[in-house]
Amino acid sequence: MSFLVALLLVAADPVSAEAEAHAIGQRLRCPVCQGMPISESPSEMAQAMMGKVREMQAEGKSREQIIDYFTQRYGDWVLLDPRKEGVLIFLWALPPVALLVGLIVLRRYTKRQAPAKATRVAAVAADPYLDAVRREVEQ
Amino acid sequence: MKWRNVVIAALILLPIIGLLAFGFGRDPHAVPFALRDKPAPDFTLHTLSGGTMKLSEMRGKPVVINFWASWCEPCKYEHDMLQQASSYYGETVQFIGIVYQDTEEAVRGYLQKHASVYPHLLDPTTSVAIDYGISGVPETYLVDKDGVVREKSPGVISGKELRRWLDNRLGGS
Repeated sequence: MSFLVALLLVAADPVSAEAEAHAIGQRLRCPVCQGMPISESPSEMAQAMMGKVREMQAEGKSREQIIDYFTQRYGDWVLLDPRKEGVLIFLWALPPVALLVGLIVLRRYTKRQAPAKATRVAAVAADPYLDAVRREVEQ
Repeated sequence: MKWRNVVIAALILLPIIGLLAFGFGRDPHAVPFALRDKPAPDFTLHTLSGGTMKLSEMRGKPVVINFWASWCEPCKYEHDMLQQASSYYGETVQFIGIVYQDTEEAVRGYLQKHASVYPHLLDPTTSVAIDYGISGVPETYLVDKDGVVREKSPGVISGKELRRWLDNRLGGS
């Protein structure tokens, strides 16, 4: 019961509602701007879209329902952060996978270089001519 | 060993090159046509003459919806062509203009200078424009006789494109 009352208080709190509207607006791209979220753009279109967000909030729609409304009209293009599902998960996975592959390649390269360097040093040390020169210099 | 390295490098580089080619081959500002083959969002809007029009009441014939504004310079280029097309197709196609982020006064002034043969509707809250995923004006949509969105033209529509849209629809109906 107390949980329900708390829930109703949060729903009625205009500050929380506006913060939620702002959070939703941060995820949506303004269609007439250069990659700007609708919550930050002063354009009339972005303001109208924020108005739509607030209107849907007032109707009791959830964050996901509001985001879905915009993606049904503008596609996933409208999302400033791509969804972490389906083909789009590839976009999120690519940077860490590329980093991992880079590290593996780097490790293999340095491992291969280490014995070659050791062999070169051993060959120089075993050379009798170089050994004689070293002794001359040290005298 | 060398061949193996070449194959590994190709396996790493080819998807990256493919991804870059895909990305650079697209206009990042182009808004996708998400409403294609989906039911047209219904609306009831006031006309400039004081009446109302409801999209779902126009079922039975194709509807051309043109979003425009009096301040929009490119909209002027297509205005005459749209009037001629509306006159040419007559009762077989319903043309409507939806005014996008403009004042009623400015629109009336514009239409006094540039005659129009079809109705223009006011969308004062931009809600219908958002319902259609508008990203600017002009933008034109074709809704078929069953109320399904079939075509979209972002920017100025050519007479040739509009004719292709309508002849396809009317020929198939």
